[in-house]
Amino acid sequence: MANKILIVEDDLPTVELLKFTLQSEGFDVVVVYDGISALRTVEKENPDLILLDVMIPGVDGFEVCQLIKHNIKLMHIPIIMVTAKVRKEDRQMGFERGADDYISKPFDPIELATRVKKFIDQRTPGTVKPPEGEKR
Amino acid sequence: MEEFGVKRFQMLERFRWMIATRLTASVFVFIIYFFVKKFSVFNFPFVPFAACCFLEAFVNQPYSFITKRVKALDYLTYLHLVFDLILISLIIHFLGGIEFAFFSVAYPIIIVLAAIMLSRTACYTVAFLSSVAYASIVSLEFYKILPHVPLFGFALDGLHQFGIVAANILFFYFVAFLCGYSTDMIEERTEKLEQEKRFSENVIATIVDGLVILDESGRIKEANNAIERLSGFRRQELVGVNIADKILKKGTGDKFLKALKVLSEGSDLRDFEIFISSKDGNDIPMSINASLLKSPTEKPSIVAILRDTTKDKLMDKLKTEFVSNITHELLTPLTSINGFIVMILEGKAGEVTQKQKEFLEIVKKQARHLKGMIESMLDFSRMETGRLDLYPELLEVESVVAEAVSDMQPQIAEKEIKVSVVAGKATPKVLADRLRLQRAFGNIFGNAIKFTPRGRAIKIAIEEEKGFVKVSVCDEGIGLAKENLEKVFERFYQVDSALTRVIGGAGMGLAIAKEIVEKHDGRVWAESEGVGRGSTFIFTLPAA
Repeated sequence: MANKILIVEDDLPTVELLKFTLQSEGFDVVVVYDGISALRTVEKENPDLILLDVMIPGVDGFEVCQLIKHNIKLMHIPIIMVTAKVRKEDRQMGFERGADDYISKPFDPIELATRVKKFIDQRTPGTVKPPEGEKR
Repeated sequence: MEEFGVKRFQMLERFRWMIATRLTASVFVFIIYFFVKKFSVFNFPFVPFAACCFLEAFVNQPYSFITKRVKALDYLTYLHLVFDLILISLIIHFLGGIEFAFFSVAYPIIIVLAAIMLSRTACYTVAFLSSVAYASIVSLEFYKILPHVPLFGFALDGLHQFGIVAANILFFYFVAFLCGYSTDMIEERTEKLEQEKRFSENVIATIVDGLVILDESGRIKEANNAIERLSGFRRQELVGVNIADKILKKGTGDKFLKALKVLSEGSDLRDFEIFISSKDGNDIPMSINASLLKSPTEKPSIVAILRDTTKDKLMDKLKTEFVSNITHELLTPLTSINGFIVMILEGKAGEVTQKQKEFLEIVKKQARHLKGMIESMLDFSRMETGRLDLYPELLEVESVVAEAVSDMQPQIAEKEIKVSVVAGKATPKVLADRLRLQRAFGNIFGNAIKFTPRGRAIKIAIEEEKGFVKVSVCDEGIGLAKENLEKVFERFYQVDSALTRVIGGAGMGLAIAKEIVEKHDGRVWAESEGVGRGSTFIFTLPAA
């Protein structure tokens, strides 16, 4: 089964680019456009990795990140923040909220794909996974 | 209320003076009398005269005590002056009455006192009372109702007396007129001065910005209402205290005092940014302008205006946020533009012909250029608002240079420029923000590439010099005229707009580089033999 990646991003062209990049690498892609649906979808879809923009409608990326990382069932999912917020403080904030990596816009799609692959490969079988049958 | 207080204070000052004068006068008169009696032919009674002197001195004492407690000082003064008048009349009586030649001296003293203590009207009243007292003594003695105390042992005849009495009374009024007139004049002048003083005090008090007057060591001599409002301290609490100890935030005072040194060099201190700590513990950002107030009589003092910059800071923050948001908005579309081009170039969207590839490379390059400009804009806005924060680390300048050079490789290759880097042996490390330093060097180096013709060379040298690490970028480009050597670092400056149109650029690069280097306590400058003879851009950073 292909690995599933959740993209949280409100800019359509960027979504298209990410989708295209990841699909051509053979990943399954789920896209949501705002923070609240991101939180809902994470529980439902149980993705293998999340690409998270900061400036999204509703709950912002930092909060989404924090909420996911504070949820014992979801905290194992790697989160890569993808954002145009290039200031060092923003980057710091992302890491403080538990982000696993930080890619600043404009990004090189090839590099992004490489990083995503790295995270997926790193996930050894021993990693905590949510117990089956927990889905509501 | 305030005015009344001031007036009363002035009055009390005068009373103190008058009481002292009166006491001295009593003692003095007594001593003179004593000597005159001992060494001259005059023979007048001792007991009543001494009694008068002692009575005057005695009454004088409780008077000083009462003045502090009584509100109606004017009436009290009147009362005392009348008392003085009676005593003087008695003394005159015992000193020979009609024969006494000093009528004209004794009474005017009280008239003058009335002028000093009270008013013009009081002068005339006292003059009138003096005339009455004087006339009474003379007539009472003349008609033998009162026993005459002989001084020389003779009495002048009545007609003659009348002329003297009239002349004396006229003299009293003359003195009253002179004193009253001068009192009025002095009062008027004082009032005018007071008004002027009050006006300037009010101006200072009303100024919205805080104003403090310091002596050279920073001790507060004066502070206005705004300072009271801003700091929460009362004026009385501040005067005499060093500004570094009370108003300024702890630990920043020395910085300010040090900055004040420029004043003694003849220039003003402008826009000095500092925090003040208010009484209730809030820190308020302030901008201080200070200048030296020279005085021919006193030591120079420092006039400092403190402006609350809380709002400015807020505006700066909003501005920075605004620029940051705009930058975000600009970078977002660039992301997909750049990304898709990369994907197409990678062949992920099907075969790409050679021509398409060539064009796409141009688009990609332009996109990167655009990104660079947006980032410069962000840096630029941070510089403007002084929020270019540094994250310094110990680093080798060589590594920064090498990285920047490799970043610029596409441009270097395209123009076939030969770049050589010469690093001195064991150049010390510097404490600097890696990304910013890279940008500073990148801007200088990029500038050199821009203005160097195809196929020429750029030499980069890194060396140690007097505790600094010196980096020079020497190109064989168009060079600079002498008058432009400093101007190139100004914002938005373009040496030659026609040339720039070909080469492109917004004139921000070198200004940003300068700002960054100076933020690191370094220096940056340009050297050139002249137009067409290449130029060298040099910057230094303090060795760590």
